[in-house]
Amino acid sequence: MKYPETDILTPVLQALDVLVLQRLGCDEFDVVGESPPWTQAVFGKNADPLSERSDFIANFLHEAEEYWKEPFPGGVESGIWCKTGLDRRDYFLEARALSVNGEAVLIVRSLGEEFEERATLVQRSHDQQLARRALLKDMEKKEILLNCIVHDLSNPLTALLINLERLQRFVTDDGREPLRTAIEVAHRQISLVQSISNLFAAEMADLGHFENTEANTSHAVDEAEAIVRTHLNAALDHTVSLRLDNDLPVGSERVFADSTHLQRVLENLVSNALRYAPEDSAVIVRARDDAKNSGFVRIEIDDEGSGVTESIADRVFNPFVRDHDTGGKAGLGLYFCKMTVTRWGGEIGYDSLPGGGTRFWFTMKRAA
Amino acid sequence: MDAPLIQKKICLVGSFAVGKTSLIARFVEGIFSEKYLTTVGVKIDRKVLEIEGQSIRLIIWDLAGEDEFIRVRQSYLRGAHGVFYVFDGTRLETFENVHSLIDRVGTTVGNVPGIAVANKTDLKSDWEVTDGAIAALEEKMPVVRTSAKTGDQVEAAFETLTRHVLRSGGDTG
Repeated sequence: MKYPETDILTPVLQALDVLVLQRLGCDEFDVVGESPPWTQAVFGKNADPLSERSDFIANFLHEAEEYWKEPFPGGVESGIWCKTGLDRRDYFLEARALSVNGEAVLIVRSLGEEFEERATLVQRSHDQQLARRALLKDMEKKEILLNCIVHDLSNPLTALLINLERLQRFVTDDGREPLRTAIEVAHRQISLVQSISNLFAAEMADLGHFENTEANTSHAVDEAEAIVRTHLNAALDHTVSLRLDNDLPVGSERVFADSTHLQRVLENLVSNALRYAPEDSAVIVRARDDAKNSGFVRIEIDDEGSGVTESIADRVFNPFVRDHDTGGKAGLGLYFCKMTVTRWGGEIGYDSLPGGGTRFWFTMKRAA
Repeated sequence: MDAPLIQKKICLVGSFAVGKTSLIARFVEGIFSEKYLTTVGVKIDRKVLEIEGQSIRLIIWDLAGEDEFIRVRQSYLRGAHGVFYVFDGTRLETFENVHSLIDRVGTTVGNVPGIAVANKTDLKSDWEVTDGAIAALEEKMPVVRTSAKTGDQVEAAFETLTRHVLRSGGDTG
């Protein structure tokens, strides 16, 4: 049965701003009362079936048809959809299938303030979740940077302390007191590093930015040579042979990498290699062209150690990852290396060597 | 006589703010907006692609991003010929959500062709999703790395999925 239009119906539907459609047959509907003004903009004016005029309604009608076969109280609603009208305005709509006295009815309404409120709430919630996440990530980054500073300052101090303590065995009575004082100072300095590092944290947080300028270039071989030289004694102590092989063509040694950080990267990688190198083995630092990319210089550090433990193989460059007993180290050295080399635009990695041992390598863009 | 226009329904699913709406805006209108405006409900766009001499009209369903409280309505997926599983490379949790979405979409619409879209390649230095993790996902389905911001690989992503949809057969919509 088709509902008669009464005097009251039209103004009520107008007040509700809803489009009420009575189902006459499959995909055949008749408008009850008058269509709201937005109907034409949303569905067009032609006489095509509704499902052909709205992909969303076409999809919803599957659900609606199922409902009309076996209706239940409340009906089914479509959820919100947005339709850009023929007038280029975005309409937010919701449909509901109802069964009224056995008649199938489809109601479409354009959402106004109610939708605005809901959309604002969802938007605010998402914005807050993203802001919170960004904040947490920022805090994590700062914490890691802080630990990097502690790591870098602690290393030489620890070495100094170890050597001072060794000296205790050889020092004369006259030297004992000054040496004790020196050891105390070294201890104090190590504990102070943590607090001093706070002062540098803000500056270090800028580590993310690097520009390929002349001021940011280094001589790759000179830097590698200097690091090898400073570690020769430590290598001898471990009866490890340490040497530099330079395979770079003359004049091609300049790279985009700031000297201070390049030294720290080399220092970390060479120290690591020496730490894990067995007695009477060799550690070789090599500078050469990057075979994969001629515009890059590649530095390799080979050792003959037992290799990277399988359990950490894919996480070696992650923060706080430690292999073997690293004597209280935080596991930030390789993380720092990755962060720094990536910042220069290079790559870093490692390979297991066929005869045993590991090759750590990194690349730096050649400065023209 | 012209060949009949083939019509295919494509759905984009993924966590909120991964760039689903931006990918569609880039693909359909060639535009990008820096401002994040969350999608509420569904928005449907259309675009005709020419592939292998055929005109395919894509009906592109942009489904509201999932969050803690909002899940994709299963009814929206009905009749989908292909699905984009979009994640944001800079947010690991959005990648993890893809796995759950693949399962849920599979339960709802069965074995529908899908590809994963690793969006925001313009922010590559901030990516939390590793190449290794993406390689593992690639064993399940193709993964296209895109940037809705620069437009990089966006067209390719839609073409890849459409080719998969065409290869998988199905009705002509």
